[in-house]
Amino acid sequence: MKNPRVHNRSLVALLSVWGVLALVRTVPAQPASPVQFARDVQPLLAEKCLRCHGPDQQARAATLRLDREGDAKRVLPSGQSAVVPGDVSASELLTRVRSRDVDLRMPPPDEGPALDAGQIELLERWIQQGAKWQHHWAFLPLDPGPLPTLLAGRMRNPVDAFIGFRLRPTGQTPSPDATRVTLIKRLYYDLLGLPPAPCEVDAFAKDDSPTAYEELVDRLLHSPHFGERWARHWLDKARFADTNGYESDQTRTIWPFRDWVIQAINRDLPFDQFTVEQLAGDMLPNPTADQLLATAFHRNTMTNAEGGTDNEEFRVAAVVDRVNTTMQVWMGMTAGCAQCHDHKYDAFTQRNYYELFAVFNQTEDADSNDNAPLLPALTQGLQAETQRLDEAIAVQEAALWQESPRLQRAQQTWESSVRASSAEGAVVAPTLAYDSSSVDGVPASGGDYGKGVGLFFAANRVVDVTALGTALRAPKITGTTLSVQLFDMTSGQVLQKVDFVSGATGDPVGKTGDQFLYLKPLQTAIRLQPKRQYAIVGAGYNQQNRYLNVDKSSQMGVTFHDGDGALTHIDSKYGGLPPQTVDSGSFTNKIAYGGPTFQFGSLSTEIRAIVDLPETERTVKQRKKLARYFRGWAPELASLRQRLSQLRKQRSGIAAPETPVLRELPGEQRRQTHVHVRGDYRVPGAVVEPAVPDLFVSGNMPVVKDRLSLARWLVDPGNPLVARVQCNAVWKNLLGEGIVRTMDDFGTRGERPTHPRLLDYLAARLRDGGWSRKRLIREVVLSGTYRQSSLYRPDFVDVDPTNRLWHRQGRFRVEAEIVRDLYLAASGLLTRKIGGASVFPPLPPGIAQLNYDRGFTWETSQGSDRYRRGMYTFFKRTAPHPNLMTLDSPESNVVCLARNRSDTPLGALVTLNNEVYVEASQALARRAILLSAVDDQDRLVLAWRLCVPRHPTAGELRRLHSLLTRSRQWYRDRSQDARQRVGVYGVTGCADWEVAAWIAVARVILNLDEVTTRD
Amino acid sequence: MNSNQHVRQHARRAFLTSSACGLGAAAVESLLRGETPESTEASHFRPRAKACIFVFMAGGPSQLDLFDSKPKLRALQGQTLSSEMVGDTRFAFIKPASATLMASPRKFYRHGESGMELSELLPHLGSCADDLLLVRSMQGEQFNHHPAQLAMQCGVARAGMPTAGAWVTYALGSESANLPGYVVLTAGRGTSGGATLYQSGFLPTPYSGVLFRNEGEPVLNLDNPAGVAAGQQMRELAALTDLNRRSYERVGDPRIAARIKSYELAGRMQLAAPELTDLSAESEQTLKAYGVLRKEPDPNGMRGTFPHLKTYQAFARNCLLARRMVERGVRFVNILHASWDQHRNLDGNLAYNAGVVDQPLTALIKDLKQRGMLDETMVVWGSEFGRTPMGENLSSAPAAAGRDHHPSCFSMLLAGGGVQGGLTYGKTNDVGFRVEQDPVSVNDLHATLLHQFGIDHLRLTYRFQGRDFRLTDVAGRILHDWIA
Repeated sequence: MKNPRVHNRSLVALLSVWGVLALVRTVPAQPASPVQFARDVQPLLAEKCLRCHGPDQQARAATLRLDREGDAKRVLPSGQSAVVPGDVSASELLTRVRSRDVDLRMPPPDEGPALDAGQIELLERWIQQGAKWQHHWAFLPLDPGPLPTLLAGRMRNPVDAFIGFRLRPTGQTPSPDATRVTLIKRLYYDLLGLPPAPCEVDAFAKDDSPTAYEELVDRLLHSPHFGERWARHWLDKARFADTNGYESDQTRTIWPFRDWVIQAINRDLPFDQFTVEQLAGDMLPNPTADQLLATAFHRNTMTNAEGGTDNEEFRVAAVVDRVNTTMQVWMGMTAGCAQCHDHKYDAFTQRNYYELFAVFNQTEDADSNDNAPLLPALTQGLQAETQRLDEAIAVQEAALWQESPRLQRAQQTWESSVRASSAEGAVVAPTLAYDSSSVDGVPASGGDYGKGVGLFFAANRVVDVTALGTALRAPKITGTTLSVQLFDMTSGQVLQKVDFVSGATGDPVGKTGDQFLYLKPLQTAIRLQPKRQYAIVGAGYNQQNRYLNVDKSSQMGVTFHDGDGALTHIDSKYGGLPPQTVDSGSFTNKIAYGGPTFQFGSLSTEIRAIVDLPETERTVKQRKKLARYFRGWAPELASLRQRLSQLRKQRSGIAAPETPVLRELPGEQRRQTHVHVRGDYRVPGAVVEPAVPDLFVSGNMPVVKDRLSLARWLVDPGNPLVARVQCNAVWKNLLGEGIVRTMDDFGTRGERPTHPRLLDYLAARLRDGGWSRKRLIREVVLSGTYRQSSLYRPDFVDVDPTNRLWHRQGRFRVEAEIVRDLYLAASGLLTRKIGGASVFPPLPPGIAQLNYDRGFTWETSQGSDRYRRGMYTFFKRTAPHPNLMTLDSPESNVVCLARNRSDTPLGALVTLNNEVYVEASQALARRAILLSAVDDQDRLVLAWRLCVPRHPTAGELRRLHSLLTRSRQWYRDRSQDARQRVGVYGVTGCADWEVAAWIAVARVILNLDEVTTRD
Repeated sequence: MNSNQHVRQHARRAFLTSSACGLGAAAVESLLRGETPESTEASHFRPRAKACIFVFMAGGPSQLDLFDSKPKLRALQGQTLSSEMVGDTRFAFIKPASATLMASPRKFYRHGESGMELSELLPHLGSCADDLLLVRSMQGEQFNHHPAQLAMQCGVARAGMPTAGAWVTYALGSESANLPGYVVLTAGRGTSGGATLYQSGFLPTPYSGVLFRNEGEPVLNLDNPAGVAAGQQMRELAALTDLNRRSYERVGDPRIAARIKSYELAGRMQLAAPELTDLSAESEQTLKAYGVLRKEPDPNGMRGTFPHLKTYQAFARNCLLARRMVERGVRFVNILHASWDQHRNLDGNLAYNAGVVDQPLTALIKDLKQRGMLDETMVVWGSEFGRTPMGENLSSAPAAAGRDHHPSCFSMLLAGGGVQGGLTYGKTNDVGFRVEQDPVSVNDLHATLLHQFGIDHLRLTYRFQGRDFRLTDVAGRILHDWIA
């Protein structure tokens, strides 16, 4: 919990700030030590004074400003000065904070409690010592200073020198190295988020080569799972989610961005480039598809598709989010306050805010429901898959054209049957057409459904051919065709036409009876709107919203009633695309019956003419044409065609996913940016131009005029904050807490770094070392500080209770996604596929419906996708997966810099009882039984070590064995319980009660604190 | 303080701050300062309310047909509003230049000694009018559902903020050792905001609302896996606790103690939650009063309802569950019911929805009162906004049969928790378009709600990204007129 303050909040807050200082003082402990403004005085002023005497013009009282040296020391209208260097008695600041008169005292009683004696004494000393001012530490240039002298022994690299330097005065030493088993577990958890296999643990534990540790580190840094592990950290900052947010919260395709992050981290894209591509990849000269895709970082903002919204309002909200997120993620600063007024604590004005806003205010996206602009982009993985399928299709096509005598004979038989028939079709069934105004029971189109205009059908509309007066008695239906046209009512223009013909791609006519006969579309893709291409499998009527909806999952079918006619029926299965602007339609249905299987449509007069020609009189061209036609449906080639059609279907399924991206507006469409008075976009104030706050500007920095120059300004060597913030984040991921504990606030109210020089050392290494993330991580994990044991040390309980000196490694629960990964990996269920679209692991009923997104269904992933890593779980903003949320996943609507880590009963229930976790215990039990056949002891050790890398102690084994024995007895007497517990995880040759007992053991092991703790 | 004491205190802090079942931050702070662990001790001043039941009607019920009678609309029926009156008011769908005023077909009656005026659609509620505080002058700014819902729940229309329930639980915790402090119940279909209406935002996860479900296990993952009977469950948990305790002894990390404790609590919740949701101990009279088994009217044609949802019964059950929860120490209960967004078919839909709410809500207030719990339990009934006095003029449907979103004035009901009964507060103008007297913002509502819990809304803060956030953002007045 971060600084909870309800009662005496200021005091508590101060204690937490002073906690650092208190420690610092116990170290050098010289009473006359010089006061440091940035370290000692500024936080006090920020906490106690700046609310009313800070940068916020509106809130400023008595024209006094204490955030700037000149203002604090100038002569006020009263003739006094707040701060007179060297003269405590002349300094009004001191008079006021010491006053016992409630009318004079500062801060005033309703603003908070008075300063305590220590704080007043500090201010006195500071003024006595000349009231020297310093810039806030975080904005000063990086200054690691000289390396502290390395001590002999465990000092492995400079990191340890900085840590050791602070520890030395306590008379204590850092903790010893963790065991080798702990070290390999730690590295696996931190770098991959996966457990090491027992054999890997054993090999590493035995390897006494001096470079073994380093080699392990390098191996893991090169694992493709490293990118997954560290991408997830970044996705927290990107507020990554699979839906638009707000009311309708529909699905968006943004997973390609996740793939981009994984790949970028795996190839160690330097952080400066990583920054530039995400913030402004589209503005680079000749950007690659990957660079364009990177800009999806800032398209993770929410889109409001609710009816009756003002798109400008939510476009502005998205730009605001981009400003705030950029400042948080890169600068560790809160800008959001200045959206409505000048910042109260940091010299960041409202005008500054809108200058930054102006930088982000020039992109094309404008809260449209389709998330335009979209980038169709094939990721690397998909490109490889496309190539594989193209090759396979070529092979199958060649096979289709292979000559054979059997095929020749079949073609001749068919030709003679055609010649025997009289006309184009055996029977051409009635043609019926209607539009929405002419057919009974079909309401006229209306305009009152949101902004879409729909083609309205009555519920379960069945157009009965017989009812329309054309009775059709068909003993055996041999072919059918269905043609659907959608019109624009006003222009009469045909918007869309789809023809379906039975067996056109070679499938035999589906079975009749009361089953649907699904038809194959002739046309598999049409263009409806520019840039939005749909693969049409069918068209369907959507019962819920009453419009004809065309999408991948809709199906249109014809129902045949054997013997006494045909019913044409529009079937519906809603797939979730927005309604098309269609308000009328017609369809034509032709049915053939009797005789051999009949091919509609394509048996054109031309083909018929060729068939009628004697074989010898046909030209080569005609022969080819006929053969092509015949092979298109010949039953003899059905299986070949089916394979081909499956391949083609797979191939066409790999449409380049369309990811929302940033695109800069061209010159003539650029927006003018104003200050929004009180943060209201409808009340424009002064016009502003793009800029960054002077607060951060020092020296020779790039001039910021757009996103690209902002991105370059952020990673300019003259900007110290970005490298500090990134190193702090990396440190937290590897040691559990940041060097600056307030991850989200590097401003004057944030905590100061526990080790400022270490932070600057790492930041300089990052900046000057080619911005390599992997190199930075490598340096930290090779340090002795990282390798320390995480065991609690009684000798530090009083000196350093919260481990600010890093006298031991951190110990913390892993994130929600990793909890899942560890369970699935231990049990052998985990699918280690990297990247791709989000998946739908089991979700309890009722959750997906918490928000009333029209037609959203959670279709549980089947097969290996059920067991993907947690980071691939589909994230719906208004109804996120409870397994993630209960274990502290961020809500993902705004940037998250530090997750909570809670231990709650609800969290315990997840790992004890949730479907996935229960399945993991079943699979782990089976795995242990199958992998080890020696004895109970051997199996127990194996099951344990699949979850906890170290060997169990004798006591632990005894305890587990006792559970095993008693569970066996229990289940032996309860065969039904045993059967239920085992479920589908039975083991051949092993009684259910035996397996059930092992599942009990597996569940207990999996729930051990050690499993989900990075120690 | 010796090391052992320190570790113990540390363990206590780790548990108190990471599990939060039971205690709120205020209490945690007072505990850590070595004070008495009384939740009242942590309050800023003497609390009047101990629990809140917030009945949230997503969609925007029409106050003009329920709470705020405007006879003048009959005379003005069919006329447009003057542009001065409309000003820069924004609407989701209607065009103010052509939309015309639409009178309510509903009759209004006076109830109780106070003579509170309520619509014929709320016959039951009238019978406890003297316990109700009817606020007619609520005012908001958001005219789209989700932002307005966030504003009502979080005090500000922004994603990522904690809800009122999260704030109250953060401050005061739960009085129950076995149940979460903040519980959510739903009836009917989902809301615009979904889970965002009870998330904890930047407050720690344990302060987010816990969904109690209408079907299956009352809380997710509450039931043991198939084939694990109570005896076996105890055996496994005992082994787990033993092993984790060894870990704790070896490592000394107080977090492990917190983890062990959370498993114990989970076990207790497994017993407490089903006991809570089992209504068999309730008298037939009680079940009948709430309408738990009442006849489900045909929802055909009603917006957002489906027969399988059994909205009437589910809502009645939720009201009864809310009382049972408060009895057992739950701090904040949120009952969500959606589908009040009546752009069309207002008459039919509103009657249906009023029927969902009227009887059970009345029964809840009376039941609380009869059990002596109403004084300490604040019941709030309201939505994200109200509806326009103008009918909705759709191009395709010339005859207006519904009303558009209207945040400029709407009504809410409160009862109990020390608020004044029989009071009608605030006034709207004679066409019900804007507030004329005593406007109330959501921040005022929240400030007053916190005040009744003994919390100063200015002092309940949480530092996030360098700023001390409040439920009431930068506004909020305590409405002393509301307080009995």
